[in-house]
Amino acid sequence: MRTNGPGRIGRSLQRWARLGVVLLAVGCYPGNGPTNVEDLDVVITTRAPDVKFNSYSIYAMPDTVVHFRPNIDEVNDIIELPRTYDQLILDAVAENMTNAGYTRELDPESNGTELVLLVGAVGTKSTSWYMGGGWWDWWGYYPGYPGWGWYYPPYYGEVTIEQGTLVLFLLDPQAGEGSDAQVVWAGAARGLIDSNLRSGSRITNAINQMFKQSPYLGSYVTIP
Amino acid sequence: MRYAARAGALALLLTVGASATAQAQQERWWGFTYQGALTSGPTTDFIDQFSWRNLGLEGRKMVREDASVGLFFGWNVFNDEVNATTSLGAYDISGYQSRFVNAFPMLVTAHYYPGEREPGSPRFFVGTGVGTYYTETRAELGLTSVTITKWHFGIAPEIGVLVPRFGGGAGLLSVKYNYAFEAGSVEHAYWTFGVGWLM
Repeated sequence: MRTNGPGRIGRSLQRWARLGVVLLAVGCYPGNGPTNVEDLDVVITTRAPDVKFNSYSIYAMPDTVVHFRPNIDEVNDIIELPRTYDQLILDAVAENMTNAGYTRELDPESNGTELVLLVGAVGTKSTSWYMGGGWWDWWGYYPGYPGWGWYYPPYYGEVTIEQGTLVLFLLDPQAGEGSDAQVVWAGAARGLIDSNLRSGSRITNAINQMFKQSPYLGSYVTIP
Repeated sequence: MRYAARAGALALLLTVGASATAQAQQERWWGFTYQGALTSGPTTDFIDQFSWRNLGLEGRKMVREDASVGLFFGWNVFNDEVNATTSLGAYDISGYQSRFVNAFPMLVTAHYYPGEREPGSPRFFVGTGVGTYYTETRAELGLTSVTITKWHFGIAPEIGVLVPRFGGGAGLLSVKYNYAFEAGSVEHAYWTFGVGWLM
Protein backbone atom coordinates (compact mmCIF):
# COMPACT_ATOMS: atom_id res chain seq x y z
CA MET A 1 0.00 0.00 0.00
CA ARG A 2 1.42 3.33 -1.02
CA THR A 3 0.92 6.39 1.03
CA ASN A 4 1.21 10.08 0.35
CA GLY A 5 3.88 11.52 2.54
CA PRO A 6 4.04 15.10 3.62
CA GLY A 7 6.69 15.74 0.95
CA ARG A 8 4.22 15.17 -1.80
CA ILE A 9 1.65 17.42 -0.19
CA GLY A 10 4.32 20.01 0.33
CA ARG A 11 5.29 19.89 -3.32
CA SER A 12 1.65 20.18 -4.28
CA LEU A 13 1.31 23.27 -2.14
CA GLN A 14 4.44 24.71 -3.70
CA ARG A 15 3.01 24.20 -7.16
CA TRP A 16 -0.17 26.01 -6.18
CA ALA A 17 1.84 28.77 -4.61
CA ARG A 18 3.88 29.21 -7.78
CA LEU A 19 0.71 29.36 -9.82
CA GLY A 20 -0.65 31.99 -7.48
CA VAL A 21 2.49 34.06 -7.78
CA VAL A 22 2.32 33.92 -11.57
CA LEU A 23 -1.29 35.02 -11.56
CA LEU A 24 -0.55 37.80 -9.12
CA ALA A 25 2.30 38.91 -11.33
CA VAL A 26 0.05 39.43 -14.32
CA GLY A 27 -2.02 41.60 -12.01
CA CYS A 28 -5.50 42.89 -11.97
CA TYR A 29 -5.24 44.54 -15.39
CA PRO A 30 -4.05 42.03 -17.95
CA GLY A 31 -4.14 42.59 -21.68
CA ASN A 32 -2.06 44.17 -24.36
CA GLY A 33 -3.32 47.72 -24.04
CA PRO A 34 -2.95 50.36 -26.72
CA THR A 35 -0.13 49.69 -29.15
CA ASN A 36 -0.39 52.70 -31.46
CA VAL A 37 -0.76 56.38 -30.77
CA GLU A 38 -4.11 56.39 -32.59
CA ASP A 39 -5.39 53.78 -30.13
CA LEU A 40 -5.55 56.62 -27.60
CA ASP A 41 -7.72 58.82 -29.80
CA VAL A 42 -11.13 59.52 -28.29
CA VAL A 43 -14.19 60.98 -30.03
CA ILE A 44 -17.13 62.37 -28.07
CA THR A 45 -20.37 63.82 -29.41
CA THR A 46 -23.48 65.13 -27.76
CA ARG A 47 -26.71 66.74 -28.82
CA ALA A 48 -29.37 68.99 -27.39
CA PRO A 49 -32.57 67.11 -26.59
CA ASP A 50 -35.67 67.51 -28.70
CA VAL A 51 -33.88 69.19 -31.60
CA LYS A 52 -35.16 68.10 -35.02
CA PHE A 53 -32.07 68.16 -37.15
CA ASN A 54 -34.03 67.58 -40.35
CA SER A 55 -35.71 70.94 -39.85
CA TYR A 56 -32.44 72.59 -40.88
CA SER A 57 -30.90 72.58 -44.32
CA ILE A 58 -28.53 75.58 -44.47
CA TYR A 59 -25.40 76.13 -42.44
CA ALA A 60 -22.50 78.54 -42.44
CA MET A 61 -18.96 77.83 -41.35
CA PRO A 62 -16.11 80.31 -41.00
CA ASP A 63 -13.10 79.39 -43.09
CA THR A 64 -10.87 79.41 -40.04
CA VAL A 65 -10.09 76.96 -37.29
CA VAL A 66 -10.03 78.92 -34.05
CA HIS A 67 -7.02 78.01 -31.95
CA PHE A 68 -8.08 78.41 -28.33
CA ARG A 69 -5.83 79.40 -25.48
CA PRO A 70 -8.03 78.66 -22.46
CA ASN A 71 -6.72 79.07 -18.95
CA ILE A 72 -7.51 75.54 -17.83
CA ASP A 73 -5.21 74.67 -14.91
CA GLU A 74 -1.64 74.83 -13.67
CA VAL A 75 -0.71 71.28 -14.53
CA ASN A 76 -1.35 71.57 -18.22
CA ASP A 77 0.38 74.11 -20.42
CA ILE A 78 -1.18 75.41 -23.56
CA ILE A 79 0.92 74.77 -26.60
CA GLU A 80 0.76 76.29 -30.03
CA LEU A 81 -0.72 73.96 -32.59
CA PRO A 82 0.53 74.16 -36.15
CA ARG A 83 -1.95 75.30 -38.77
CA THR A 84 -0.77 72.57 -41.10
CA TYR A 85 -4.03 70.68 -40.83
CA ASP A 86 -6.52 73.56 -40.61
CA GLN A 87 -7.66 73.32 -44.22
CA LEU A 88 -7.84 69.53 -44.02
CA ILE A 89 -10.07 69.88 -40.97
CA LEU A 90 -12.40 72.38 -42.63
CA ASP A 91 -12.63 70.29 -45.79
CA ALA A 92 -13.42 67.11 -43.84
CA VAL A 93 -16.11 68.86 -41.81
CA ALA A 94 -17.67 70.41 -44.90
CA GLU A 95 -17.68 67.08 -46.71
CA ASN A 96 -19.44 65.36 -43.82
CA MET A 97 -22.01 68.15 -43.58
CA THR A 98 -22.68 67.83 -47.31
CA ASN A 99 -23.04 64.07 -46.97
CA ALA A 100 -25.54 64.69 -44.17
CA GLY A 101 -27.61 66.79 -46.55
CA TYR A 102 -26.80 70.30 -45.38
CA THR A 103 -25.95 73.10 -47.80
CA ARG A 104 -23.19 75.50 -46.90
CA GLU A 105 -24.03 79.20 -47.14
CA LEU A 106 -20.90 81.08 -48.11
CA ASP A 107 -22.36 84.57 -47.55
CA PRO A 108 -24.38 84.31 -44.36
CA GLU A 109 -24.18 88.04 -43.66
CA SER A 110 -26.22 88.78 -46.76
CA ASN A 111 -28.34 85.63 -47.05
CA GLY A 112 -28.63 84.47 -43.46
CA THR A 113 -28.31 80.89 -42.25
CA GLU A 114 -30.11 78.36 -40.11
CA LEU A 115 -27.05 76.88 -38.45
CA VAL A 116 -23.54 78.02 -37.70
CA LEU A 117 -20.73 75.51 -37.40
CA LEU A 118 -17.66 76.62 -35.46
CA VAL A 119 -14.42 74.68 -35.50
CA GLY A 120 -11.74 75.08 -32.85
CA ALA A 121 -8.61 73.38 -31.61
CA VAL A 122 -6.44 73.49 -28.52
CA GLY A 123 -3.14 71.89 -27.63
CA THR A 124 -2.01 71.02 -24.10
CA LYS A 125 1.19 69.71 -22.59
CA SER A 126 1.56 68.00 -19.25
CA THR A 127 4.86 66.95 -17.70
CA SER A 128 5.54 64.33 -15.07
CA TRP A 129 8.82 63.61 -13.27
CA TYR A 130 10.06 60.29 -12.00
CA MET A 131 13.18 59.19 -10.11
CA GLY A 132 14.62 56.10 -8.49
CA GLY A 133 17.81 54.18 -7.76
CA GLY A 134 19.72 53.10 -4.64
CA TRP A 135 20.59 49.83 -2.99
CA TRP A 136 18.83 46.72 -4.13
CA ASP A 137 19.30 44.16 -1.41
CA TRP A 138 19.88 40.64 -2.64
CA TRP A 139 20.36 39.19 0.82
CA GLY A 140 18.44 35.97 0.93
CA TYR A 141 18.99 35.20 -2.70
CA TYR A 142 22.77 34.93 -2.36
CA PRO A 143 23.28 33.89 1.25
CA GLY A 144 27.07 33.80 0.88
CA TYR A 145 27.19 37.59 0.82
CA PRO A 146 25.03 38.84 3.68
CA GLY A 147 24.44 42.52 3.66
CA TRP A 148 25.84 43.10 0.21
CA GLY A 149 23.81 44.08 -2.75
CA TRP A 150 23.91 45.77 -6.08
CA TYR A 151 23.97 49.51 -6.26
CA TYR A 152 22.13 51.41 -8.90
CA PRO A 153 22.88 55.10 -9.25
CA PRO A 154 20.00 57.50 -8.87
CA TYR A 155 18.16 58.29 -12.04
CA TYR A 156 15.46 60.71 -13.00
CA GLY A 157 13.55 61.70 -16.04
CA GLU A 158 10.46 63.36 -17.28
CA VAL A 159 7.51 62.34 -19.35
CA THR A 160 5.82 64.98 -21.44
CA ILE A 161 2.44 64.32 -22.95
CA GLU A 162 1.20 66.62 -25.67
CA GLN A 163 -2.42 66.33 -26.65
CA GLY A 164 -4.51 68.02 -29.27
CA THR A 165 -8.24 68.52 -29.03
CA LEU A 166 -10.50 69.37 -31.94
CA VAL A 167 -13.97 70.71 -31.16
CA LEU A 168 -16.98 71.34 -33.36
CA PHE A 169 -20.00 73.35 -32.22
CA LEU A 170 -23.18 73.45 -34.25
CA LEU A 171 -25.27 76.45 -33.25
CA ASP A 172 -28.80 77.58 -33.93
CA PRO A 173 -28.60 81.39 -33.84
CA GLN A 174 -32.41 81.72 -33.77
CA ALA A 175 -32.74 79.49 -30.71
CA GLY A 176 -31.15 80.04 -27.36
CA GLU A 177 -31.73 82.70 -24.76
CA GLY A 178 -30.93 86.36 -25.18
CA SER A 179 -27.98 86.91 -27.44
CA ASP A 180 -26.64 83.41 -26.89
CA ALA A 181 -27.12 80.93 -29.69
CA GLN A 182 -28.13 77.42 -28.72
CA VAL A 183 -25.60 74.68 -29.20
CA VAL A 184 -27.61 71.90 -30.82
CA TRP A 185 -24.71 69.51 -31.39
CA ALA A 186 -21.09 69.30 -30.37
CA GLY A 187 -18.25 66.99 -31.18
CA ALA A 188 -14.77 66.68 -29.75
CA ALA A 189 -11.77 64.56 -30.63
CA ARG A 190 -8.69 64.27 -28.47
CA GLY A 191 -5.45 62.45 -29.08
CA LEU A 192 -1.74 62.50 -28.58
CA ILE A 193 0.15 64.80 -30.88
CA ASP A 194 2.70 63.01 -32.98
CA SER A 195 5.04 64.32 -35.60
CA ASN A 196 4.60 61.70 -38.27
CA LEU A 197 2.46 61.75 -41.35
CA ARG A 198 -0.41 59.85 -39.77
CA SER A 199 -1.81 62.96 -38.08
CA GLY A 200 -3.79 63.92 -41.18
CA SER A 201 -5.54 60.58 -41.44
CA ARG A 202 -6.14 60.48 -37.70
CA ILE A 203 -7.84 63.89 -37.83
CA THR A 204 -9.95 62.90 -40.82
CA ASN A 205 -10.93 59.63 -39.19
CA ALA A 206 -11.90 61.45 -36.00
CA ILE A 207 -14.13 63.92 -37.87
CA ASN A 208 -15.72 61.11 -39.85
CA GLN A 209 -16.34 59.25 -36.59
CA MET A 210 -18.09 62.30 -35.09
CA PHE A 211 -20.66 62.20 -37.85
CA LYS A 212 -20.83 58.42 -38.01
CA GLN A 213 -21.85 58.18 -34.36
CA SER A 214 -24.40 60.98 -34.85
CA PRO A 215 -26.76 59.39 -37.36
CA TYR A 216 -29.55 61.75 -36.28
CA LEU A 217 -27.53 64.61 -37.76
CA GLY A 218 -28.82 65.30 -41.24
CA SER A 219 -31.50 67.00 -43.21
CA TYR A 220 -32.41 63.64 -44.74
CA VAL A 221 -33.21 62.02 -41.41
CA THR A 222 -36.87 61.23 -40.96
CA ILE A 223 -38.16 61.97 -37.49
CA PRO A 224 -40.87 59.46 -36.59
CA MET B 1 -14.65 1.51 -8.62
CA ARG B 2 -11.07 1.95 -7.43
CA TYR B 3 -9.85 2.13 -10.98
CA ALA B 4 -12.55 4.61 -11.94
CA ALA B 5 -11.69 6.84 -9.06
CA ARG B 6 -8.01 6.81 -9.91
CA ALA B 7 -8.63 7.33 -13.63
CA GLY B 8 -10.93 10.22 -12.89
CA ALA B 9 -8.41 11.79 -10.62
CA LEU B 10 -5.63 11.38 -13.16
CA ALA B 11 -7.67 12.67 -16.04
CA LEU B 12 -9.27 15.58 -14.28
CA LEU B 13 -6.60 16.69 -11.89
CA LEU B 14 -3.41 15.68 -13.63
CA THR B 15 -2.13 14.13 -10.45
CA VAL B 16 0.25 11.19 -10.52
CA GLY B 17 0.90 8.11 -8.47
CA ALA B 18 -2.52 7.77 -6.99
CA SER B 19 -3.56 4.52 -5.48
CA ALA B 20 -7.02 5.02 -4.17
CA THR B 21 -7.37 1.97 -2.07
CA ALA B 22 -8.97 3.54 0.91
CA GLN B 23 -10.30 6.82 2.04
CA ALA B 24 -10.30 8.01 5.58
CA GLN B 25 -13.48 9.56 6.81
CA GLN B 26 -12.13 13.06 6.56
CA GLU B 27 -14.17 15.69 8.34
CA ARG B 28 -12.42 18.88 7.35
CA TRP B 29 -11.24 19.97 3.93
CA TRP B 30 -9.46 22.98 2.65
CA GLY B 31 -7.63 23.77 -0.53
CA PHE B 32 -7.28 25.75 -3.72
CA THR B 33 -9.06 25.72 -7.01
CA TYR B 34 -7.86 27.05 -10.31
CA GLN B 35 -10.74 28.23 -12.41
CA GLY B 36 -11.68 29.15 -15.90
CA ALA B 37 -14.51 31.66 -16.03
CA LEU B 38 -17.04 32.88 -18.56
CA THR B 39 -18.96 36.11 -18.19
CA SER B 40 -22.73 35.89 -18.22
CA GLY B 41 -25.82 38.06 -18.05
CA PRO B 42 -25.19 41.71 -17.27
CA THR B 43 -21.41 41.36 -17.36
CA THR B 44 -21.43 40.39 -21.04
CA ASP B 45 -22.55 43.92 -21.92
CA PHE B 46 -19.20 45.08 -20.62
CA ILE B 47 -16.93 42.08 -21.16
CA ASP B 48 -17.90 39.06 -23.21
CA GLN B 49 -14.85 36.86 -22.76
CA PHE B 50 -13.55 33.67 -21.22
CA SER B 51 -10.97 34.20 -18.52
CA TRP B 52 -8.10 31.99 -17.39
CA ARG B 53 -7.17 34.20 -14.43
CA ASN B 54 -9.18 32.91 -11.51
CA LEU B 55 -8.36 31.40 -8.16
CA GLY B 56 -10.37 30.04 -5.28
CA LEU B 57 -9.57 29.15 -1.69
CA GLU B 58 -12.10 27.19 0.27
CA GLY B 59 -12.66 25.14 3.37
CA ARG B 60 -15.42 22.68 4.20
CA LYS B 61 -16.46 20.97 7.41
CA MET B 62 -18.65 17.90 7.31
CA VAL B 63 -21.61 18.43 9.62
CA ARG B 64 -23.29 15.19 8.61
CA GLU B 65 -22.39 12.18 6.55
CA ASP B 66 -23.83 13.93 3.53
CA ALA B 67 -23.51 17.65 4.22
CA SER B 68 -20.84 20.26 4.81
CA VAL B 69 -20.60 23.94 5.53
CA GLY B 70 -17.64 26.15 4.79
CA LEU B 71 -16.11 29.31 3.44
CA PHE B 72 -15.00 30.32 -0.02
CA PHE B 73 -12.77 33.17 -1.13
CA GLY B 74 -12.04 33.85 -4.77
CA TRP B 75 -10.42 36.18 -7.21
CA ASN B 76 -11.74 36.43 -10.74
CA VAL B 77 -10.21 38.65 -13.39
CA PHE B 78 -11.89 39.48 -16.69
CA ASN B 79 -10.63 41.79 -19.39
CA ASP B 80 -11.49 42.82 -22.89
CA GLU B 81 -10.27 45.32 -25.43
CA VAL B 82 -12.69 46.88 -27.85
CA ASN B 83 -12.78 49.72 -30.31
CA ALA B 84 -16.37 50.75 -30.05
CA THR B 85 -18.87 53.52 -29.41
CA THR B 86 -20.42 53.69 -25.97
CA SER B 87 -23.47 55.80 -25.13
CA LEU B 88 -23.56 57.46 -21.74
CA GLY B 89 -26.70 59.52 -21.44
CA ALA B 90 -26.60 62.23 -24.07
CA TYR B 91 -22.97 61.50 -24.89
CA ASP B 92 -21.59 59.06 -27.44
CA ILE B 93 -17.95 58.15 -26.88
CA SER B 94 -15.71 56.29 -29.31
CA GLY B 95 -12.23 54.94 -28.96
CA TYR B 96 -10.07 52.04 -28.03
CA GLN B 97 -11.19 50.78 -24.65
CA SER B 98 -9.52 48.40 -22.23
CA ARG B 99 -12.10 46.98 -19.86
CA PHE B 100 -11.50 45.06 -16.65
CA VAL B 101 -13.55 43.41 -13.94
CA ASN B 102 -11.93 42.11 -10.78
CA ALA B 103 -14.33 40.21 -8.55
CA PHE B 104 -13.59 38.90 -5.09
CA PRO B 105 -16.31 36.56 -3.79
CA MET B 106 -16.38 35.95 -0.04
CA LEU B 107 -19.01 33.33 0.64
CA VAL B 108 -20.42 31.04 3.28
CA THR B 109 -21.05 27.71 1.61
CA ALA B 110 -23.21 24.67 2.16
CA HIS B 111 -22.95 21.44 0.18
CA TYR B 112 -24.98 18.27 0.02
CA TYR B 113 -23.43 14.95 -1.05
CA PRO B 114 -26.08 12.50 -2.21
CA GLY B 115 -25.50 8.78 -2.08
CA GLU B 116 -23.47 6.50 0.11
CA ARG B 117 -20.12 7.60 1.45
CA GLU B 118 -17.89 4.80 0.24
CA PRO B 119 -14.15 4.96 0.82
CA GLY B 120 -12.26 5.91 -2.29
CA SER B 121 -15.31 6.66 -4.37
CA PRO B 122 -16.05 9.97 -6.06
CA ARG B 123 -18.66 12.02 -4.29
CA PHE B 124 -20.88 14.29 -6.29
CA PHE B 125 -22.22 17.35 -4.60
CA VAL B 126 -24.57 20.26 -5.03
CA GLY B 127 -24.39 23.40 -3.00
CA THR B 128 -24.43 27.12 -2.87
CA GLY B 129 -22.48 30.02 -1.55
CA VAL B 130 -24.06 33.12 -0.06
CA GLY B 131 -22.21 36.24 0.87
CA THR B 132 -20.61 39.27 -0.60
CA TYR B 133 -18.75 40.13 -3.78
CA TYR B 134 -16.31 43.00 -3.92
CA THR B 135 -16.02 44.09 -7.53
CA GLU B 136 -13.85 46.59 -9.32
CA THR B 137 -15.11 47.57 -12.75
CA ARG B 138 -12.67 49.65 -14.77
CA ALA B 139 -12.64 51.15 -18.25
CA GLU B 140 -9.65 52.84 -19.82
CA LEU B 141 -10.32 55.13 -22.76
CA GLY B 142 -7.53 57.17 -24.29
CA LEU B 143 -5.54 58.59 -21.41
CA THR B 144 -8.54 58.48 -19.09
CA SER B 145 -9.78 55.69 -16.86
CA VAL B 146 -12.91 55.20 -14.84
CA THR B 147 -13.02 52.74 -11.93
CA ILE B 148 -16.13 51.76 -10.01
CA THR B 149 -15.86 49.63 -6.88
CA LYS B 150 -18.89 48.05 -5.24
CA TRP B 151 -19.86 45.59 -2.54
CA HIS B 152 -22.64 43.27 -3.66
CA PHE B 153 -24.80 40.67 -2.05
CA GLY B 154 -24.25 37.52 -4.04
CA ILE B 155 -25.01 33.85 -4.43
CA ALA B 156 -23.14 31.04 -6.12
CA PRO B 157 -24.96 27.76 -6.76
CA GLU B 158 -22.54 24.97 -7.57
CA ILE B 159 -22.33 21.36 -8.65
CA GLY B 160 -19.24 19.23 -8.68
CA VAL B 161 -17.45 16.09 -7.67
CA LEU B 162 -14.80 15.21 -5.10
CA VAL B 163 -12.39 12.47 -6.06
CA PRO B 164 -10.71 11.22 -2.89
CA ARG B 165 -7.17 9.88 -2.76
CA PHE B 166 -5.62 7.53 -0.30
CA GLY B 167 -3.93 9.25 2.59
CA GLY B 168 -6.34 12.15 2.68
CA GLY B 169 -7.22 14.86 0.28
CA ALA B 170 -9.39 14.88 -2.78
CA GLY B 171 -9.45 16.32 -6.22
CA LEU B 172 -12.23 18.73 -6.92
CA LEU B 173 -14.06 19.51 -10.13
CA SER B 174 -16.89 22.01 -10.03
CA VAL B 175 -19.09 24.34 -12.02
CA LYS B 176 -20.39 27.40 -10.27
CA TYR B 177 -22.65 30.26 -11.29
CA ASN B 178 -21.72 33.49 -9.56
CA TYR B 179 -24.28 36.26 -9.31
CA ALA B 180 -23.41 39.55 -7.68
CA PHE B 181 -26.67 41.42 -7.30
CA GLU B 182 -27.04 45.04 -8.37
CA ALA B 183 -25.26 47.59 -6.25
CA GLY B 184 -25.40 51.17 -7.44
CA SER B 185 -26.39 50.19 -11.01
CA VAL B 186 -23.54 47.66 -11.20
CA GLU B 187 -24.21 43.94 -11.25
CA HIS B 188 -22.09 41.04 -12.44
CA ALA B 189 -22.58 37.40 -13.28
CA TYR B 190 -20.21 34.71 -14.48
CA TRP B 191 -19.62 30.97 -14.60
CA THR B 192 -16.53 29.41 -13.09
CA PHE B 193 -15.15 25.99 -13.93
CA GLY B 194 -12.86 24.89 -11.16
CA VAL B 195 -10.21 22.23 -10.86
CA GLY B 196 -8.61 21.93 -7.47
CA TRP B 197 -7.24 19.99 -4.59
CA LEU B 198 -8.72 19.77 -1.12
CA MET B 199 -6.72 18.43 1.82
